[in-house]
Amino acid sequence: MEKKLKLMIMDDEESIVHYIKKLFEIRGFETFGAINSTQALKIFEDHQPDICILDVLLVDSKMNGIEVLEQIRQKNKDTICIMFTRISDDDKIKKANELGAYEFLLKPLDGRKLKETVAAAVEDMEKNKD
Amino acid sequence: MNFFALSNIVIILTNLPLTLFLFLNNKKEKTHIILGLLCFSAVLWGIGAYGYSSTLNKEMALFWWKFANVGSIFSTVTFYFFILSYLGIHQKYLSWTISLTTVFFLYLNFFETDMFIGNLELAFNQFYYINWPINKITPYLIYYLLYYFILLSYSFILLLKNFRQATRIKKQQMKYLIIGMLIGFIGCHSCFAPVFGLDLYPYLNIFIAFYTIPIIYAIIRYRLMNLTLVITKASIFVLVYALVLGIPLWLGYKHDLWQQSVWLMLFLASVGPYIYSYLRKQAENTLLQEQKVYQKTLKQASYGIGRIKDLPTLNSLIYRTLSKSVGIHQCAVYLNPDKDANQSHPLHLAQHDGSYPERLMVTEPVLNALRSFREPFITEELSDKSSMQTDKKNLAEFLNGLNCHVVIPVIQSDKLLCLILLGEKSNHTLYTDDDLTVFSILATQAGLAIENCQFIEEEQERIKSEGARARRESMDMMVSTMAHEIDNPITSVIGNSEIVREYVEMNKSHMPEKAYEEINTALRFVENDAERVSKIIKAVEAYSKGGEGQIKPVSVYDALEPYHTLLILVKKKIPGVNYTEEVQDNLPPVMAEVILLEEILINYAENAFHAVQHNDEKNVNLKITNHNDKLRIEITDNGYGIPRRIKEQLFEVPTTTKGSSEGTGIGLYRIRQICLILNAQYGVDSQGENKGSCFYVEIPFIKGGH
Repeated sequence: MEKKLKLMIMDDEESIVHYIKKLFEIRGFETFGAINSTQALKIFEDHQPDICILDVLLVDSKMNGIEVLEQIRQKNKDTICIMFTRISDDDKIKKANELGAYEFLLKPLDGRKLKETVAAAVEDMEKNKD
Repeated sequence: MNFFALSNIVIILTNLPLTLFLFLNNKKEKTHIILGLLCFSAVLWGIGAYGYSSTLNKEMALFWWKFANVGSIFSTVTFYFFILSYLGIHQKYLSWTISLTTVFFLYLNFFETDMFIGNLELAFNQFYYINWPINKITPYLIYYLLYYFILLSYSFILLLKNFRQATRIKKQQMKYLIIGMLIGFIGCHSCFAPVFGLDLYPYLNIFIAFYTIPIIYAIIRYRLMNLTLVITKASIFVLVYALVLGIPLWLGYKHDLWQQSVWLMLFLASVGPYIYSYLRKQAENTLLQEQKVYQKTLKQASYGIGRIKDLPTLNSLIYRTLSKSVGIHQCAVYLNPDKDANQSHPLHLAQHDGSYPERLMVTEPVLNALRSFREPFITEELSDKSSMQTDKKNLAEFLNGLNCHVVIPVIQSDKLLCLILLGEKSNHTLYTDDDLTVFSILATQAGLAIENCQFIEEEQERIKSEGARARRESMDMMVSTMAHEIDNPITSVIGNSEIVREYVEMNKSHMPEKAYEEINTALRFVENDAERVSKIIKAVEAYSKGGEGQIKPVSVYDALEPYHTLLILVKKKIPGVNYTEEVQDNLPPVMAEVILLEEILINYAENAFHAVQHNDEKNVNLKITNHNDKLRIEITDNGYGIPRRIKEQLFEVPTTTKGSSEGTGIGLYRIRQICLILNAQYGVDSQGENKGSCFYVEIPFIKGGH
């Protein structure tokens, strides 16, 4: 049996977390959801997800998405991180790119666009394995 | 003392103070000085005549006759020169001839006395008098009397000729001058009768004292001279004390009752101050009734004017004060909206009663002339002054055709704040010096009050606009946050319904067909509505954010989609409007920002929807066309239209025709700002109230934009 890819979603909106989890569960991913930075880093520590979808701006969270990305990068340089945010902030995009973010998507999340981005990431991962 | 002597005392007492006042009041004014000399001639006559009428010594009488003749000779010549000066006539050769003739007669008077005066004869058993029938050897006397009569008649003819052509205040002045001079010279001529041996006592000599009364009246009432109330008071004083002293003296002399005369004099001297005080008050009440009204007006105005904080109320008070209190038939108050302007610009009519134009175009020369006057002036008097300067001629032309008797420029620090035009007084009397003094004080107060009001209004406007800006910034932030807060659940609704759809698809074979269809239909509704909400939120957020300030080639079609989204909100607010669109295809791009075009469209549309909201039939039409190589956006409605009075200022200042709860009137002002950025034209066509309107903007296409 082929090992399932692990995908973590971090967003302070629980309904969004649920939606994205289910979106990729259906597509055969093992999914994890976090609604703040503490939960996200714990999940990363415990399950080492292959793909992380991180919201940049989080309410009631110790760290924002960029800081979480920074923490993840300290632990694993290969994890694919897709960032999404509502506000197009050039400084944050620059910082995310420096930290090796795979893609920077704008909110509101377009399910189709997200599916395409994740699919492209999986393809890249497989190419890199080969 | 005989009556003739007494009349001469009265002559001295009335003419001497007037002489002094005329000499001292305005030393630079030639006309004043000459009139002063005329009065002084009367004084000389009075002294001389008193001298010869009070003695039975023939030699002394001759001395005083010589003295009196100086007054007589000078009275005609000074009258002639006064008329020339007053009427502004120059007669160089005649003046010299008359001056030399005067010297000649003076010479005869002093050095050829036998040929000029001759032997004096006792007249009326009272005094020595010239008697020509007995002394036929005095031909020069006849020449003198002829000269006296001819010169006097000539001077009167000059005065009467000009009187016929004169108007208003000048005519009134001349009327009183003629009356006064006639009285005076009737008095003089009455003294000629005994000269020719006629048995007519020179009672009328006292008229030489009375001629001063019409002249003083003309001075006070019709500004013949710039003298003040003091003359009236002085004249009353002199008259009262002439009587106080004169009556006892006359009694004493006539009836030889000197003891009673002294007692009467003491008594009259005691009651004199009371009589004087009473007469003064009466004179003030009658002559200065207007001034008292003015004092009251000024008191009321100065009390109220400084407390007013808004221009409309201030204009109303200025207008009321002038039209009601001062009693002016027609009056207009014009405000200067651009007080710093030095070029041609219009003044706006603020308050009026009568037919005055809504706008008065003030050119630079007119402005300069008003600045040079500074003080209120009578338009009729402008004709004299305009002969001097071009600016003043322009001012006269500017005022020509306006119903304007007096102009009051309200000037502060060389800036024309306001212009007040006054028509005729309600009682049809003429404007006086006092009127002008009152107007001058009112103008000064009005100037300060207008500046005060403008400062307060600017400050209020600043606070209001700062408040509006702060509110708008805060609203933008709130809109952005709200959009975020709505967006997330909407994303969740759309996303989760998608999940449900996928689960349903996966389990389609395990569920009844009916249930499958129902779930799908419900999901489609959920997704469609959520998409619609998301679209509106995005449009509102983009609109509230505004543009990026980058003008670039854009197509009007790009602005239509977000405009339609926002129009939904307008349509929801004012339902039942028959909204139609005519958009021409293939329109070239224009230099703009999509959001700016969107702003124009939504502002005009909102106004149009507001305008038709109370109509039975509500029609709004948007038309976007190529009009003379310009993108023309026009929105036509059949609403309440635009009143003509505000049409011009509609885009200039925040103005609203809506109720205070419905808008700030900032929309059209904003359109003007956008059009300035886009180098576009804007405007409104409306036939007037309740006749609908058509607002338009025309933006040039980019050349070769296709």
